[in-house]
Amino acid sequence: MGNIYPDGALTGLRVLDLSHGIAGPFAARLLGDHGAEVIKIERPFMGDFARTLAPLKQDAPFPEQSLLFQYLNWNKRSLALDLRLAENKALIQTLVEQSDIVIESFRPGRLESWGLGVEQLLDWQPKLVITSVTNFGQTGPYAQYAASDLTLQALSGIMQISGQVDREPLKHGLSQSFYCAGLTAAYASIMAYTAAQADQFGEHVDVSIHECLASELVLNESYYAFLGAVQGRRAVVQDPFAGEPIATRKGYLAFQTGGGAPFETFAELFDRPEFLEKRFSSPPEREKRVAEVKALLEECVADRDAKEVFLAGAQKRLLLGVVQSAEDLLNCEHLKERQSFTELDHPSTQTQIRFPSELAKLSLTPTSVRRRSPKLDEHRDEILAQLRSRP
Amino acid sequence: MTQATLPLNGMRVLDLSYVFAVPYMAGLLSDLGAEVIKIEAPHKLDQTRGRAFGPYLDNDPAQDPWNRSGIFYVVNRGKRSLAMDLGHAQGQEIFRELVAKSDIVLDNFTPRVLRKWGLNYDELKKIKPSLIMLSNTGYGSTGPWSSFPSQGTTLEATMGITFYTGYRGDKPWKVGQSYPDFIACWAGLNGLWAAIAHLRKTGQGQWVDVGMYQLGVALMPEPLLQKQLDGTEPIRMGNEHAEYVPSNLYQAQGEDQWLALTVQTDAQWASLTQLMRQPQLATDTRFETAAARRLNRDAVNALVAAWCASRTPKDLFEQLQAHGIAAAPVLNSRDLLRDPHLKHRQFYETVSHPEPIGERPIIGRPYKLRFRDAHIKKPGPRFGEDNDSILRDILGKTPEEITALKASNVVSDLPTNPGLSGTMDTESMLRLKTLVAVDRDYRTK
Repeated sequence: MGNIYPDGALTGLRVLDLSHGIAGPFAARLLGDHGAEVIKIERPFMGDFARTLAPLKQDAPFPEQSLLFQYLNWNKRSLALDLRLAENKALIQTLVEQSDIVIESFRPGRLESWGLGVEQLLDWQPKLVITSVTNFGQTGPYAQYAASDLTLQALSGIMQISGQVDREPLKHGLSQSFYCAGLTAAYASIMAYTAAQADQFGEHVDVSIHECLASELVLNESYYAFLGAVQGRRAVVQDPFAGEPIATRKGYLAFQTGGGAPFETFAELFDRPEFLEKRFSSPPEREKRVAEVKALLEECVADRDAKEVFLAGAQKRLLLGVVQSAEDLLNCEHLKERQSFTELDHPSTQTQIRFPSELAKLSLTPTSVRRRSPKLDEHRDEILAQLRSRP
Repeated sequence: MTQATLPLNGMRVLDLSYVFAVPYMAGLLSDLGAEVIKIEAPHKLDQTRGRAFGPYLDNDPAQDPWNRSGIFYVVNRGKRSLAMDLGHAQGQEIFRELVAKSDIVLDNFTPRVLRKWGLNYDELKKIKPSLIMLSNTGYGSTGPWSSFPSQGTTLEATMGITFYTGYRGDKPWKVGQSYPDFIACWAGLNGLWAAIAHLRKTGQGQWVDVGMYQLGVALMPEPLLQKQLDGTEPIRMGNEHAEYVPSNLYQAQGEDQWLALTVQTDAQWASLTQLMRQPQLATDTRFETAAARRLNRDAVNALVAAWCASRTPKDLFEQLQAHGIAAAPVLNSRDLLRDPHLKHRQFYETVSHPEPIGERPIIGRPYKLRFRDAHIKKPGPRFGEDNDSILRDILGKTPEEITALKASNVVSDLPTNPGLSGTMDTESMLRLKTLVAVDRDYRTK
């Protein structure tokens, strides 16, 4: 398929993806998006458990149903191989010897118990980067603990400050923990690879999903570390210019002050002179009458559509957000213009699905989706032949 | 080389950015050996130095509030500070001189600003062809929304995560804490490291154009795919999970104490019923299988809630984990700093700041390296702290030239328009419960 794509930043680099689920495979895919050649090792018959994650295409044969698996594994070739079996050791060694980066997400100690620990891999390939992506990292009292997106958000502190003061803490929607960790594992892998290329020493990168989330609480942590203050959740009634979604005739808006335009621009946007008055324009004054401010804002948008107000306000350089669902995003004119989506065939049915594909634009080495996700063990013959032909 | 070394030793980064996303990227680069120079405007403080975000040391703005903000020291650790006006022709000239001697430029201006100053990537690469530049904006440099202003708080609504966050049956909820800034930080570092790898291989620089909206959308594929597959959308269900039951937050013993747990298999459910001393529930047809438990969510939640209510989160955490069930208490910022696991992993690094701040714990990195010593190499800078040394040592300016630059306010040792400062009203925040405690003895606790 090669020629229609320009070289990526990581073209020529070889990645061995031993991971499963979301975080590790997402990291390996991101390396593939930059041009790396990625071989995905999956357990025979079942494959990566992400092959069972929703949404599932029921008319496709098992284990080719998961659209999420498709998203996490394009730009990869699949080889089914039982890592536990001694008879596969020689083949695994060859694969490792020919790799620059190995990504894995087994429970700490598992690979070592199969004779595939970090020392062994580095012995086979001294410049190798091994990136382990696990819930709590390789060391420490929680290293062997089980986790879910929910429990990780609890233990990292995110939930303590999310939600409303008089209700229970609230997790971020969907499966954000694992994507955050995937992003971190990907850049840390490239970083360690860059270091290894320069000084010829391999590396073991130990990524903790829990710490990825805890790293996002820079404000929360400094409240305590500099002042002793423990943050709680959001007030029941708060300044509506602090981002809380406000209902319109159709959809919700989020308002914030401090864009490129002065606050008084809201008077123009809504044709309401009240916003010129100090009792609404001054933050401390607004704090004194949040219910009144909120009521005014709700009245201003009650007969309008959220998207229309968002566009009108943003064009005036006001800080506005519009609460968008999947349907809105799939039809967004801006994402369309930026070519944010790539359409791919399902591996075993002919349905085409659009996937969000580009995270950032690199001017010289753009990312690319060069091949759809693999069927389980789809590339066995090709990979084995290639290994034999290489020195 | 005879030992493993940090990958950015000898590289110089110019950081023009404010607030969280890009400053944090630059701070994390300094942990890996880069010399990072933060260029700050004398007339416009980084919001993290000001009252907008607080918190000032001991809630006291003192005489120099811009040097007392905790958040600033977390995201700007390891940097030097040059307070210089890029809107001024002389400031632009000095910046160009610095670019010639640097490797990476990072910014988060809306696209028109650097174009207006003639400091956009196309201009800067004429000075330094191998330059890597990263620009982080709300919507990227192209497309119909590219000139829209944005910040994390409103962007999280637009990118979709707000729609899928919220209590069951309630309206969409802000996730908060400027979440889009952090995913932009991680994703930006991806683009940046890819560009660095390409530079090392070919000597070629390039521009990394990060649009936060677009990358946020890429982290929520599930609803985008479900919508296309069958036209449905995931519903907001608070802390619950569409498939796993129970997977929820339960009130535990004590004030505002919560325990999260997720049962992923029927075997784990059987273990939980043992722990709850109600083993008959494991074979009860209402609860035996995942499908049955999904049909009886409320009943399952009620059973688990009753069991958790009289136990401490710590006991529940340990017991459930001993049985292989994913569980965790909800930790607050005080708990996190004392957490035995994070302590063991030295996740928070003790950084020695000049008085009056002194030694404070600062968030390290979400990964550990076995062979390379990544660490916070120095505290964040005071405003304009390195003005003289940067101008003198990197650019060879004479004392007279430096004095002249300061006299014309191109470079400044003090903010010229510091804006509002003031204490945080911790009393009323405590009343509203947006703060749950203020520990006077936090330094020794």
